[in-house]
Amino acid sequence: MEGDGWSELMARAQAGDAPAYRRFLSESAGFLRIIVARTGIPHDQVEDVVQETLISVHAIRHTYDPTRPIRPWLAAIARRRAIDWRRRRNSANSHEVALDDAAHETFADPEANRDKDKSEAAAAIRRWLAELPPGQRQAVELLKLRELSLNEAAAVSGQSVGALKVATHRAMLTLRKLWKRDEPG
Amino acid sequence: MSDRTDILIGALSEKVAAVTRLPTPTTRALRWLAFAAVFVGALVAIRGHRADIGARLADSAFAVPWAASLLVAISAAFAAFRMTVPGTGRWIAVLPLPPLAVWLATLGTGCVHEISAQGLSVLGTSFECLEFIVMTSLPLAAVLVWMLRRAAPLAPASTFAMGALAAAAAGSTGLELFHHIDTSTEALVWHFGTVGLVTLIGLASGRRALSVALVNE
Repeated sequence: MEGDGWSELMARAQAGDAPAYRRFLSESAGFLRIIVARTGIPHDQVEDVVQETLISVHAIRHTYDPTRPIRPWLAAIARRRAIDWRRRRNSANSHEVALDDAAHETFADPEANRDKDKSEAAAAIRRWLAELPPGQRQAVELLKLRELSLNEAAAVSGQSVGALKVATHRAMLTLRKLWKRDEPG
Repeated sequence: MSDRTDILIGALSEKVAAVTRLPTPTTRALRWLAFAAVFVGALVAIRGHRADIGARLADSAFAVPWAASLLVAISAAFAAFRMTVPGTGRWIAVLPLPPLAVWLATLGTGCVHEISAQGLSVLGTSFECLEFIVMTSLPLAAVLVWMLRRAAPLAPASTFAMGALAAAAAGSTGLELFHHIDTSTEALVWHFGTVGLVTLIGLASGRRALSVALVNE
């Protein structure tokens, strides 16, 4: 189905037609993938940006005017999400320092060797996350691990923004208790 | 398609609710312009328009830049609302440029004539103009931000700069109706200059003012 058909599907989605909306999102995802890939996003990140674009499309679907072409509307949102992705990556890179080989050497001071416990710490965090109640675990996964915004996480999870904030707060309290429980010594 | 994308599409479509479609940008711009006309008109009515307004409007040296400032307000408002529709070309940003050029050119020409005839003494200070335009722009811009945030300002800085230009130009247009400034030089510095200042403030603060969830981080 071409762009004009998508306009009609989107118009029905705006009226609350779930099957039409599902079909629209499924069919337009391929188009979005092409647009995102053309922006130069690394191949292994394209799908993440496509997903963020779909969430944005969902959030601002009320702004689409079915009398206008839908492809430029979709493409503009996808390009914007690609820019956001780059901005986030640049921001993250600015806080990281490349390490040379010498940086991985161990030192006589035992306090300096705490890095060796990294894999154990990661395993512990995974174990603690698994122990969280489902609502709290989902909030942490969406907001802290996938780094979605509150509104994005609300759109994906179906929880309200307020409920997500409460769930995240409770998750942090639970994680703190679990950390203290398992703390050596 | 990846499983995760498929799951996301399922989650989004499963609970899709009917939404009220946003009115067209033209309709939204007309609503804001109507509000601006009532607001600025009320301020002019409170202050009382200048007694010689009929004669001034018959004088092209006043009427042309005044009409140009009015057209800047109207065209910038249309452009700002149009810019909140994803997929709109960048060409829309040039919409206010022709009236802006006429406004600047007429005031600039008058300014050159005045300075060559009277020297720099023609330039007085009028902080009242700056205060009126800024104080008028604030509520107009606040309403504009509220309206623009309901749409999808994908380029928030330039969109809000355009909105600030519309708000400040509307304030300046109203100011001319009651304030006794009869030299192009003063109008250029205190009216046009303040409009430029407000627009730059809009450009600098647009990202913060129009950051919309799910579109901007």
